[in-house]
Amino acid sequence: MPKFMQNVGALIAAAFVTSILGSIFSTQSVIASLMSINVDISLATRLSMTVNDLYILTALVPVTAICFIIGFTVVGLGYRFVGGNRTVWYVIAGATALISTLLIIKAMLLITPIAGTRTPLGLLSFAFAGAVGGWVYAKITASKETEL
Amino acid sequence: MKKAALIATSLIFIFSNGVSAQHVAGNYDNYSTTVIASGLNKAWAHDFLPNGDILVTERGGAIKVVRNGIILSADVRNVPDVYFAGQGGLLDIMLDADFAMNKTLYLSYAFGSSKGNATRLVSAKLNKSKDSYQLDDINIIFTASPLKQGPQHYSGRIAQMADGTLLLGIGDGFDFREQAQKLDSHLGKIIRINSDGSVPDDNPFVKSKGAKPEIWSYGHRNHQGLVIANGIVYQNEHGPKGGDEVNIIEPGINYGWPVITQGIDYNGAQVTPYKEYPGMQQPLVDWTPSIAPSSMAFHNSKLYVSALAEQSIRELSINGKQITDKGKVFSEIEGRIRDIATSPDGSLYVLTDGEQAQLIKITQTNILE
Repeated sequence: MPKFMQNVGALIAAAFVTSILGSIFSTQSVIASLMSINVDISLATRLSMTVNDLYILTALVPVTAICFIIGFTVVGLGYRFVGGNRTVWYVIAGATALISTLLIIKAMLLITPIAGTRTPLGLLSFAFAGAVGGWVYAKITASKETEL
Repeated sequence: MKKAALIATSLIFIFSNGVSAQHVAGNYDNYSTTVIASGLNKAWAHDFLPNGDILVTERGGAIKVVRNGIILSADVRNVPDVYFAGQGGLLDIMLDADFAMNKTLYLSYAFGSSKGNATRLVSAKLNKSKDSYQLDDINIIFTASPLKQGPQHYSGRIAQMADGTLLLGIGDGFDFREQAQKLDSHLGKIIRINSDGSVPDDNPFVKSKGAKPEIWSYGHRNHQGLVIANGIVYQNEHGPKGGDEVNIIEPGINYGWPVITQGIDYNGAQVTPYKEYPGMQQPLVDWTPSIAPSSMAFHNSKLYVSALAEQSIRELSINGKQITDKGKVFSEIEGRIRDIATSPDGSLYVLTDGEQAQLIKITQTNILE
């Protein structure tokens, strides 16, 4: 398989993993906010809402992929010229790219685009989701020692 | 030259006479729409002075005076500084019911900065100046608490009850929706105060420990229409993606946001798993998908709701506490509609939205019912 196609496949996998985690984290954050105002939410309702919210993947995956393209390209250059632990570079890139994108969208639209990121903990959970995406990308592409 | 330009942009145009068959309006057989004034910049609300002048608020912080179809070159002076960003700025204007005697009006606006802002209500005396009007004796009678970040969801619509008390809608601030359920916060509430800012003794939570005593009702998102007729308080509010509502507001009632809604978040995620919940009031009218209601007027025993996203005016019939959406009317009026009000002479006036907003009069020429 050509190197470019392998990188694209890794990027899509990373975007999917990050988006699924982000959606799940966002739902839990929204539910926690509702429970903080004494709303009863059963485990079954929590699971149902978590599954229903995966609908946002249709928007989240493309946005995540775009911000990863930018972030991973920058990090690829950084790793090439600076060196160090390649996986750590991509983990940091995944977290930073996702948080930066959310903050840029917020600055442009003057609203928080994903309700689950309104709190510091919610935003941190998205950083973790982005970091996992970076780790996935780094691992898939590691043996090829390639980068976008 | 400037005056001539103002006159030119304010010329009256008769758009149409008569109604096409597709109109659903029950009240109107024949009507005409007349552009009273053009070129208003982000107009938000208007009210009518006894002498025929019309005051129009612009979100940037100006109050324009429309006199005989002309926008006066001199704005109303001494308007308080507003926080003009996002949905914020100068919002509603309402004359006191006893304006002819006390010359008092009320203004709502976004106050503060990006780091901390809130919906604020002031009273002021409107006095004539050499070429226009000016505000004197400006008193801050209410500021929503806590201050919030972000320039969205102020609401700001004002109404006055028969006993002279004032109702003010306060939005949930967008990112703070859970506060609509908290009685120690003004966000997502309708508050009721006396005209001097004091709290009426018969407010529903005045004796509840920890509750803001001004709260009249709660569980609201972003009210846009608030009108009182025959002692009944009618309100509409924006849902998120879907879930726009019309409610009859009664004291102490929880209208449910964000625990119940027919809408979903803009990104498609659920705001809540619930469409109903014990102790929370269902809307009388729900618009899903959203029409983005912007204002509401009571006219000829019906409600007229202006809409931004749908770019329409809807007529709603009232039967006791049952409200029925009868559909779109006045389809000649195009664009996003920001405000609708009934004038002292019984005509409907609407304000369009945007940087070239128009003030349009709808004149009824024949009543069917």
